[in-house]
Amino acid sequence: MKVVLRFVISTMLLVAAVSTAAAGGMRDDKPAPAAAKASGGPVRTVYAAHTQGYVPYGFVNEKGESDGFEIAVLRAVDAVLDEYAFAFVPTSDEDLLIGIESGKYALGTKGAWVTAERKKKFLFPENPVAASIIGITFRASDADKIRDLESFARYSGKLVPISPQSAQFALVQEFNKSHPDSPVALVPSDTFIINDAYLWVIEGRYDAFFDLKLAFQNSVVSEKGAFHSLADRLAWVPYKGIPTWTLFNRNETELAAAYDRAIEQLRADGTLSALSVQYFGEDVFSYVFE
Amino acid sequence: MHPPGCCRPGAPARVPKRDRMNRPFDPAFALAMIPSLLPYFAVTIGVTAASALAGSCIGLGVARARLSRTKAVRAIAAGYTAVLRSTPSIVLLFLVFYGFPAAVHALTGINIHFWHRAVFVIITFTLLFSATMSEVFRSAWLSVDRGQFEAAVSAGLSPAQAQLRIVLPQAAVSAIPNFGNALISLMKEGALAYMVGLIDAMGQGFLVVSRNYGARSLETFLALAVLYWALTAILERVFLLVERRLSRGLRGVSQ
Repeated sequence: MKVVLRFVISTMLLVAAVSTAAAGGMRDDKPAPAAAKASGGPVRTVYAAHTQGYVPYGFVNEKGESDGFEIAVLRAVDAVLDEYAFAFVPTSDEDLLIGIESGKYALGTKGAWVTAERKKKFLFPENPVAASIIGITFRASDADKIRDLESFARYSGKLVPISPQSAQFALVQEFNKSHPDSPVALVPSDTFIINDAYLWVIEGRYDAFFDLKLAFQNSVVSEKGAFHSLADRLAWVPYKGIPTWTLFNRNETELAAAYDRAIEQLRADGTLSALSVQYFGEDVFSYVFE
Repeated sequence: MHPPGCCRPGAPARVPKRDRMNRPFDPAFALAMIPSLLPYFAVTIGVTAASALAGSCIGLGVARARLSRTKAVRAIAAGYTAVLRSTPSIVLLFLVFYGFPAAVHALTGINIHFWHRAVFVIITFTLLFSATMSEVFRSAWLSVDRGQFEAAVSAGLSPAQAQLRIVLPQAAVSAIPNFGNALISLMKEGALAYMVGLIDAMGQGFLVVSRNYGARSLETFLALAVLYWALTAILERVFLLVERRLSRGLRGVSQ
């Protein structure tokens, strides 16, 4: 029995040693900080979280690299700021929100909108990072009844569920507060991204899907879109143009101020508009600053 | 503001027959997906193997503790198994991923937040697998008649030799099918690792769906299902061979 016990203990120690060594060696979450800054002063590396699959705002591309409009903006901000080096960490929506709040990440982007709840948890800078145009996608055969969110709410209000963590949820709640007579049926969903939403609308399970203009254009209108076969049977109308924000940990006031300085400079020199055209095919800032 | 092609009023209400299957589905896409998902199965297999190895070692220790003569040791081991077996894997995964670094930071001041996500996933599944394995090993151990041990000792083997050479090989035969089952479900449960952002086969599948703006999910998940099925088939085959090899002595008697 002693031999067995000794064998067990030594194996456990070996496994512990190996896994500790592996843990030390495998740290791909910690990308190399940007190249040395020109100023030569002390550079603080800050961790910037972003979504893995929110195309084209922030995602991981085929090569496994961080890509997307918001990341391109943050890279430009990083290039302006000598005293900071951004390290990008792709992660889940939940980890991003919890991580920025707890200080694991100094900042993060997820195409986030501002809500009263988020203002309590995060530090918002003065300047948005991008904008998204939200509307509803519905069956083209209902086009005589649905012309906007209000007429949809009067028609049936059967909206594809939205994650309560999403700001879209708060936006619909806000709409319901101002339209108590004909509110939208707002159902909380368990996930951020609902892959089959277009089909649910076509199948009649729901009558509309709270949908970004960009997603509708890329999946349905575009000939390359996976749902292009439904293009004749789906329609989209806008509801609002909404700025999206970089979220900062509450203690990162200096970083947020530096970020604002950089964003104002990048807007003035046209970098932001150029990046927007590159990623969205239009200048989304025209919806925010007009 | 309207994109071209949208908001067309009065589309036909009747659906042509070929369009009755609303879901755009392209089997060729599923097939083409397989080579791009395959490399990420290395992550799935690596996480499974590491968790199975570490989990088995701890499980063996826990099984030994549950057969201990000391009441306190038995109670602790039984408590460990009971708590872990009743924790859903996703709950434990979140507890380990969010709670463990916070606890380590609070206790030691060391920041392990940016350890590779696979480490947290392996810790989670090691804990879960060890609880299952402790029961597998305990029952396997008990399945060998005490007389085997006594006969070996009376034939002149030391107690340790008797355990290693007589009891262990017989216990292994009855443990193998359960171990195989547990390993296969461990591999499949590993798909949950995407929830904390680990890019394994499942995670890569989700990324592909995202890059297609939420489309192609059916094709992607079909490709994943085929690959998981193939991997399970291989594991089943391996365990069958191992079981045959280990039980060769048993077959000999009847021949």
